[in-house]
This record gives sequence, structure tokens and C-alpha cells, in this order.
Amino acid sequence: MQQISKGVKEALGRIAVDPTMMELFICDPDRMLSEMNLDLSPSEIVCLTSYVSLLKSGRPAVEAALSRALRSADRMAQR
Amino acid sequence: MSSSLSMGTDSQLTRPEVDLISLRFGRLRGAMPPLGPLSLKASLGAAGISCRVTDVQFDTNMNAFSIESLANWIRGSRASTIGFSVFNDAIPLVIAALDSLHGDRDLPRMLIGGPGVVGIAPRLLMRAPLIEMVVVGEGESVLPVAVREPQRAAVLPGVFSRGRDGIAVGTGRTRREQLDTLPPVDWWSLPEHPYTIVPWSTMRGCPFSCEFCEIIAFMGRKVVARDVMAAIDDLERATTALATTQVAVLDDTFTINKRRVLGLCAEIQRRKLRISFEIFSRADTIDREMMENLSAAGCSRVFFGVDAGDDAVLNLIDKRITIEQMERTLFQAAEFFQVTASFIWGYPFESHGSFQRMLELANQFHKHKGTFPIWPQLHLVSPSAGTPLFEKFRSTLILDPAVETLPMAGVLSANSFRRSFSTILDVVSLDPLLAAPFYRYETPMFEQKRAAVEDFNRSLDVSLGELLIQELTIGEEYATN
Repeated sequence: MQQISKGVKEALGRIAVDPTMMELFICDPDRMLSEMNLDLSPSEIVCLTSYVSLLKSGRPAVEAALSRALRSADRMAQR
Repeated sequence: MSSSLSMGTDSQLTRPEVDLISLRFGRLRGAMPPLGPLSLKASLGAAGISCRVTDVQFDTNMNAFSIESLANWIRGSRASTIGFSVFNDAIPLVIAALDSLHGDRDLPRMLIGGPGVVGIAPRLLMRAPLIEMVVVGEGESVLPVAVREPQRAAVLPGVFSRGRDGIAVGTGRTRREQLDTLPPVDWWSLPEHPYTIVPWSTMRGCPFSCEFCEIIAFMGRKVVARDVMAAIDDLERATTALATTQVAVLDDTFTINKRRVLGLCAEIQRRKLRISFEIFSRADTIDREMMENLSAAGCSRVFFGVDAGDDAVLNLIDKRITIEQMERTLFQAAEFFQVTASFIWGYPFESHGSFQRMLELANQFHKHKGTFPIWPQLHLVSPSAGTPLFEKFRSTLILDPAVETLPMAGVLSANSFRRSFSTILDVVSLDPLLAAPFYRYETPMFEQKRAAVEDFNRSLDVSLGELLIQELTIGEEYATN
């Protein structure tokens, strides 16, 4: 697997568990990254965008991983 | 932009007698249908009362700050009665939306219920004159009475209304429902395909008394369970109607009764239900035999509330489990399922040493190399009216709009640009009782703790990102081959 920066992984992990961040990234990536206090280079943003697109496209394996992550994050809403 | 989803037959959708709106702003947007309102709809239907359920999860315009959207939905309702089903993070929104309707004429009657009204009913009636009744507790038996016979409903336990002098009257919570006598949810009335997870409830109530939790005030300690066969019949109907194999068991402590758990697992296997489900458990109510059976029946994840990092704090929150028990059970569970280890930090009595021990334990779980991963979650304790913790420490509540609080993670900062932010903030700042989850308790060295939690969460994000990238890459290779 290609080397992917820690910042891209962090942003992707956060986006996966927080739909607000997903929406914000799609509408205004600069703002989203500034909220996360992340400084990504243009090439890192391109890399992140491609992974977010895949996330949104909902491939079965990804969908399962994402739903696991989302369900895990949903506990507070149910308490 | 997508819009809210409405459920009901055509005539119910155009002019229902009751309009129920589920104001749930969880992160799992749209994955699960709102089970509580659907059960209320079934009870209303059995009483001959038509009902439409509106689920705002799909509406990107609807969030805890969308005053105008909610006000417009109320104005647009053609029902004679509106019912709000709320968690406590929606209370300020409901108040602000009703404030904005001041002066409107011919509005429907308005009732409110759900977990969010626990501990606040009289104050809510005082603050929001348009609300006629607040129902505290389970609502299936009470709601049809409240719709058709308000005067009779007003004297029932758990129903709060205004007396002749305008002062709020009411007491306690509603009588416990006998779950096997409730009309079944009509899963086929749900719109096609938007939901991907079946919410499955096999019991209600919790016998434990953790100080931060409002379940006792909402439902009581008595656990009421459904018949095993009836519960699984319902599960089969739901998975068929929703065309999904994903199930989230909502029971607060699914593993409280070993014999019952083994019975449910055996029946799931006997019927060859190919489902994947997740449960909430406690470290002292599950053993290896249950884990084996749960895993064989399709359980893929178990959530444990660890809730602290040392025995001193566990004692103070009345958890009645030791850290040693937690470790033993969670490590064992990771042989069978993915495990969520949920921690709560920021208690008023949490020393920095206790906090550090919690972080160490969370790290220990995260680094554990079992068959399945253990995912820790760190949650800032959320003030919740009606809980023992809130009663003891409400004088220490702090409102800090710069700090993300729970269950509003990200909302206060991410929504500060919205037009309605200042209006909601006014409602929140005027009455902590009605807006408890927007506050936090005072706790020693809060800023240092928060910084440490942010660092920890960043490391979890990186781990999750790595996992996703692996799966996305595999998925891409699979798709192109």
C-alpha cells in the first residue's frame, strides 16, 4: 500500500465517524481542515478527496467498515 | 438537499389526526428508523387514531439549531395534535421554535415526550406555553388517552399538564408497559430502502443505578422483557421489510438474564436468521458461554460502558464493578466480537490521577491484540436532568460555547455560523435545567484533560483512517479485477 500521511488518515478517520465533517469537507474542505486543526498540502487534499469519494460511493466492504465505525460513535445519541 | 421522511398510509400522510415528529440528531443519520415513535404510531392505530411519523434524520436542513425549519413544519401540519419525540439535545430547539410561533392562530394541540423530558417536565410547561402536556416514561398506553380524553390523561402518572391556576401538575412516570400486549410496529409502512439497520428492542428498563444515566428516571429499575418467540417474530418481520441483515439491539443490558440470552441465540440459529447484530452489555452480566452463543448467533460487536479508569471513580458513580472485572471480561469478549470500551471523563470528582488511569486503561484496551479489536471511546460526561449526578452537581454546571460538549459533539462550534445560533444560545444560557447537555460539570484540570483526550482521539482517528484505507484499497482492487 502506498505511503499515506498521518494527516490524511486522521482526517479520513474523523470524517468516517462524523457525517457533519463529511458534509463540511465536501462543501468547504479548507474550513473542515481548519476545524480539525490540520494543515494538509494540495496533494494530500487530492488524496483525501479520492478516499472520501470512495467512502461515499459505498463499496460493500467499505460500507460495512463505515457502518461499524458509525454505530460505534452513535452510542451517545442513544443514551 | 434531502427532506424529512414521513411514514403512514396516503390518507394518514395528508391529514392525520396526530403528527408525530422524531427529533433525533444522532450521528447515525438515517441508518435506523425511530423505534419509539413507530411503536407509538402502532398504539394510536390500534385505538383508531390515524398518525403520521416524520423522521428528521434525512433532512439536512434539520438540526438542533433549525428553528425556522421546525416552526414551518408545525405551521404546515394539518393534524389536530402534534407529538414531539425528543432526546434532551432537542429541547432548546423546540422551545425556540414554539417561541417563534407566538401569535400564530389555530395551531394544533402539542404534546411532548421521549427520554429528553426526564426531570424537566414542570419547568418545560412553564417555559413553553404552547405545550399542553409532557409525558414522562413509556407512552404507548397514555398517548391515545391524551389525544382523545385529555382530562382523563391529565391525572395519569407521568402526565404533566397545567392545573386551573396555570401551574404545572403531574408526578412520576407512566406505568410500565407490558411489552407482549403492545401492537406490533408496522415495518412495512416505512418508506422503501432508506434505512439499513433494524432497531430491535427485546426488553425495557435497567436494574442498575449508574449515577450519570437517566434510564431509571425514564423507565425505572424493573426490567420488562418480551416473549422470546414474539421478539424474534418481530425481528424477522423487520429484517424482511427493511431488506437488511444489520441489527442494533437497543436493550440497555441485553445480557442481564443468561437463560433468556441463550434462548434468543438458540432461536435465531434454529430459524437460520443470517443477521449481524450488536448489543450493550455489562462486564459482570456476560460469561464465556454467553459469548460463544452470541457469536454463533451473529453478534458482531459488544458495547461495554467502562465509564472510569479506577475503582475509586467507579464507586462514586455507583457502577458496582471493578476495573479488574472489566479487563478480564473485555479481553475475553475480544476473542469473539469487536468490542467498544466506552469511557466517561470529566466527572466533578475526577482527579487528574484518576483521569490518567482512565487514559492508560483506554490505551491498554486499544493496544490489545485479540482476535478482534477493542475500540475505546472517550466521552465528556453529559449533564442530564433527572440523574443523581445532575442533582448533586448541578451547581457546578458551566456553559462554554467554545468547548464541544456531549451529546452535542461538534455542534456548538460547527454551527456557530448558523443564523439561529444566538437564539438557541439564549435559550440554553437562561436555563441549564432545560439545556443540560449543552453544559459541562466543573472538573479539576479540565483544559489539560481536554487536550489529552483530543490527542488520544487523534490517534484513534489515524487508526480508523488506516483501517478504512486498507478496506477501500482492497475494495478498489476487487472492483477493478
